[in-house]
Amino acid sequence: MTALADFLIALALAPLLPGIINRVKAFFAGRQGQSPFQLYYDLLKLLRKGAVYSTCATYVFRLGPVIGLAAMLGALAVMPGGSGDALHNFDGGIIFFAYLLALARFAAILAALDTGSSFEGMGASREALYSALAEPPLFVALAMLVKTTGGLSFEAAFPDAALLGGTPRLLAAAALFLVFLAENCRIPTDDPNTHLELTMMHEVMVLDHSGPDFAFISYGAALKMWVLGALTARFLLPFGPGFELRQEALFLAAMFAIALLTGVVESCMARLRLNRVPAMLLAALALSFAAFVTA
Amino acid sequence: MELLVLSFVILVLSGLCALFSRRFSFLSASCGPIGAVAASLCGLAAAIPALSSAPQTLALPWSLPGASFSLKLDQLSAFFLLPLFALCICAAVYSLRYVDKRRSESFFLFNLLAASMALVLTASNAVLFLVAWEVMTLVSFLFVVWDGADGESRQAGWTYLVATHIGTAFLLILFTLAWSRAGSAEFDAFPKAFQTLPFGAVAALAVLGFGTKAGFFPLHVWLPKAHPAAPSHISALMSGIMIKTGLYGILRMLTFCPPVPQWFGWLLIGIGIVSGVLGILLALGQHDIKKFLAYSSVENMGVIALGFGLGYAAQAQGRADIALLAFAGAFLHVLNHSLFKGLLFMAAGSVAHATGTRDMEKLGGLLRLMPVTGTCFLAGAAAISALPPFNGFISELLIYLGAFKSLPGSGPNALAGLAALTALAIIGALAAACFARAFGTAFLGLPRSAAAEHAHESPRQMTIPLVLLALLCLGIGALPSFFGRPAFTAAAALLNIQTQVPLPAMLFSAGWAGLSLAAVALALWLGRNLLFSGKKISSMPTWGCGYAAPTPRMQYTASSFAQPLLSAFGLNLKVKLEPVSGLFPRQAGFRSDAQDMARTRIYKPLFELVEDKLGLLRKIQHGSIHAYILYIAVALAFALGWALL
Amino acid sequence: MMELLLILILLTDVALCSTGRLRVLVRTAAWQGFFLGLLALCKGFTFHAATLAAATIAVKAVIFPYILNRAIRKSGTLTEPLPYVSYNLSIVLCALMLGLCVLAADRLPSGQWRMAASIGFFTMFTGFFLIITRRTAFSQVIGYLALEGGIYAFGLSLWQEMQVEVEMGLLLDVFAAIFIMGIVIYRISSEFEHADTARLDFLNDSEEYD
Repeated sequence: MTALADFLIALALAPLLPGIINRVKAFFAGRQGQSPFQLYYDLLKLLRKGAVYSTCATYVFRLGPVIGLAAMLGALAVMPGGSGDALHNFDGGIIFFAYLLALARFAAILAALDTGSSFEGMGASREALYSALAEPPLFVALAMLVKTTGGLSFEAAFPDAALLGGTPRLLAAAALFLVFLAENCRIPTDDPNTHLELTMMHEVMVLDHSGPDFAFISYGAALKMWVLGALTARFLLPFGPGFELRQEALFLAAMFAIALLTGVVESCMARLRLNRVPAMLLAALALSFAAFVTA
Repeated sequence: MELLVLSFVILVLSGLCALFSRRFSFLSASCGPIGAVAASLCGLAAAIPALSSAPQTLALPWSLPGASFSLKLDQLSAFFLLPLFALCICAAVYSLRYVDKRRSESFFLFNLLAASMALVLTASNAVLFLVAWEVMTLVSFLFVVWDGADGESRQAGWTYLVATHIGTAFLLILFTLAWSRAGSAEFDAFPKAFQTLPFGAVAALAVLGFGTKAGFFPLHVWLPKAHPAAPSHISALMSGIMIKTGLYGILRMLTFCPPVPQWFGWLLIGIGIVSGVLGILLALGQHDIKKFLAYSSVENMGVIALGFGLGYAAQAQGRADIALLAFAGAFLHVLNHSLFKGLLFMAAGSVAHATGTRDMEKLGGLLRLMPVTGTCFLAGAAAISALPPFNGFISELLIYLGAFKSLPGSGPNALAGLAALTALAIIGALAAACFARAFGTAFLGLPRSAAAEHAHESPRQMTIPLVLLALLCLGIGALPSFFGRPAFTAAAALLNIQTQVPLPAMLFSAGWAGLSLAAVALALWLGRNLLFSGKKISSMPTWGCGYAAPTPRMQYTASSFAQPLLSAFGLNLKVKLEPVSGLFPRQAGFRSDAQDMARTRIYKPLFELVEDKLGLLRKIQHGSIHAYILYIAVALAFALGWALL
Repeated sequence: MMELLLILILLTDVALCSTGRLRVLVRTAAWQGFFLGLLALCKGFTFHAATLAAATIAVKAVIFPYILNRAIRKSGTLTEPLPYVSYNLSIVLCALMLGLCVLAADRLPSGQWRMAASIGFFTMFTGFFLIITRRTAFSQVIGYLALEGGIYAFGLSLWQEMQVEVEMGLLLDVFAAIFIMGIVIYRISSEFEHADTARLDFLNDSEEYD
């Protein structure tokens, strides 16, 4: 029951994270900025619209956003929120989680290639590169969790994470935050605000999507940010199972703090050169490896 | 057992029928494939019950020294027979329309190949095993040079023949050693013989001998040449089953020398990591669609070796529970890889058949023209990328669990587990990128050449096997608690657990997770269609950044897609560039190739060295028949003298 | 507290492997020296420990960086040109070294200080790695510093009571070495207009260069 409540909270609040990031960036730039609820308005508007399809698009293009969103809903179902329970739990849930992210990416890459646009192909290629490099730090961080707790699902592993010292958890959380930035296409790997097709990555892959399809993609991206944020946050907040108001509040505060931090990073940093991004993700790997050996 | 023998008989007889029916009509040769299907059904009927029963044996005398026609059908053999016969059915049906020239010979050899592989998997006598092994090798060699008009496939055949015989030489040494110690060439006598041999020697000979067949890096060099050169249904059998016989050989030898030490587990993990990562990187660099699939086979053999390595390492530490998971995962991956690699090779064959090219850079937009083949290829691509809810995910999940469970506590096994799962993560991500790239460039977007523009869907005999395999991939992924049973039985047999092992509960949950994922996707799809009802939906050309005259050749190519990934992993494409120059430039060109580091760094220098050093021997070989006879006479005299002394 | 310090030292090692900007390298090495100094206090706040910490911090975090920064400024070399091993690969190798060091230290009977031993090993190997794979004399000096830091951390983990005299002697050696190297680098760069040690091999008197 509490798991369902957490699931619904995530569904409802996920679009708030990009809003917060935008607000922080606006603050740093000295602007008023858009409302933090902007994504909700956008989603509602997009859902009411029709769509334009490329003449060469097949069913793969139409299926892409649907699969992507379904995968994110699945990932959310195995990731416990503030209450410590998740909707679906089984030994290997952590692996299922990682492969759902891969499934969403696979669908997005294929949808991008289906348009026949060279820009979208370029974006797809870079997305594939970053995700391939982001996978090892994620798995090593998960390995650290399993090494100490023995739990093979998030629900089983997170409560025992309290056994870990503070430093390994902090290291792993730092590594996961870097993975969070790369997977969600934020600065310093990708710039969501860029307006030149050549330099876009995630944004260019979805150029041809419109209407409800694009709403699915934007919502899926918000959910992805939520689940990866939750993963990072729960490394730092090892709650037990069951519902507690204090835990719930702490968890949500942590989620918003991560959004805040992302906004600050985006405002203070420039994007890395394409061939320096691997170094950043390798550093994340070194961090999570350090977490593993010190845990 | 009788059913198995019956299936051998049907295979050989129907093959002979096909061979001698060439005079009659185009159709009469079809008795070959039909016989293959019937024999495979018989074989399945023999193998499935054998999975859960005591080993059955059959021994008939044979006049060769040391040899006997003795067969043994235990759980290990039975498990490997499953994908063999399943894939044979599909490949045989596919070949009915795919093979259009020299049908009689092709069908005969196909049946012979199937029979020899089944014999390799069930032989229980070293001589019989080697004979079957050699028949399998020679028949597949004939298929590699089947379209031998061009130099490339001849060279592929040559490489294949040399590589595989070097491997067989190691096996000969191993078997002769065992034979001389045991005094019998029966496999049943081998455990006693292996006790007197150091394990390191046995392991080294087995890994070198069988590893060549299994395509472990860097013994794989023949594989990416030979597999693409063969006709596609044979490529499917070679990648699907034949390389697994190498793995079967290693496992069989290991059952003769328990207990397997821990370092051997780590060795297999190391082999698996190297084969997996380098295999998938090299696959990423290919633009020949079949060559790319062949490299991906190297990668998958790596994943399987990784699973077995984890299992042996855990077993040596006394953790049978972990070993069971890892073994079961590896076994299931053997089955899964046969299914999806068979599917992918045959789909690639259909593409090559329809367009006349295997070069991904010339394809594109085939999904509209070949919807069934394309959709099946997509299913296979998702399955081999281990995406839920397909079967690849289940087998990799089990291997992952084996790796994760060996983490708690410190020590070398924990680090081996960490290395294994990190490598699996990289392999998984690269495989997904690799197959998204292949499917995306061949089937999506717009046709890049006239050949691709005029492609057509293949006839039903060629699509039905694909659909069947795709459904099996989906079925195993959705119902792993049903299809996973044989893998766990085989794993238990490898661990010498006699009782029925309970399936882990997670298998059921994983299947349920996959199914609910599919249900959610379906619901979203329906919701999307509901949202679209009554809305305006229009069609426009793809946004080209405002450029007014785009052509399909401007699409992102497979090589461009792979380049950043390859260079990030330190593998640089060899680029051949004819730049544009002058006021009235001539036609310019660009070509990129991923070079196999095993070939350029190991074999080329090695063979050059050998050639250099052995150049002196050329003097002996000068073409004069008199001198050759003299050599023979001298050799004979020497042998006689030796015998007299 | 000690664990946190060791982790920070570990991070500085990773950072040393991952960049070629000399100023960043010097700054990182200074931080490493600072953390190493604090590490001496973790055994209990005695007079000896305090002296050791103060001396280490003064020398490693203040004096060396000052000398090195001055040399960098004078030589005008700001980045490491083309290391023998790329930075990305360096990070991966660095992680592998860490794994090996942890494995090796597992065999030592040093109890709760095992982690210090493994990080000490790791810092030593980072030093070796920098000396082997980098071209400029600056990076090599920093590698030398890391090497000494590793010995220091390892020594701390082994002895119940650190022999201050031993450590002081060591520190003095390094001090002299760095001081001389600072001068030498300055000379090399003013004499040859670069500080690339790989290119000094033409100074040898083999016949190839005559």
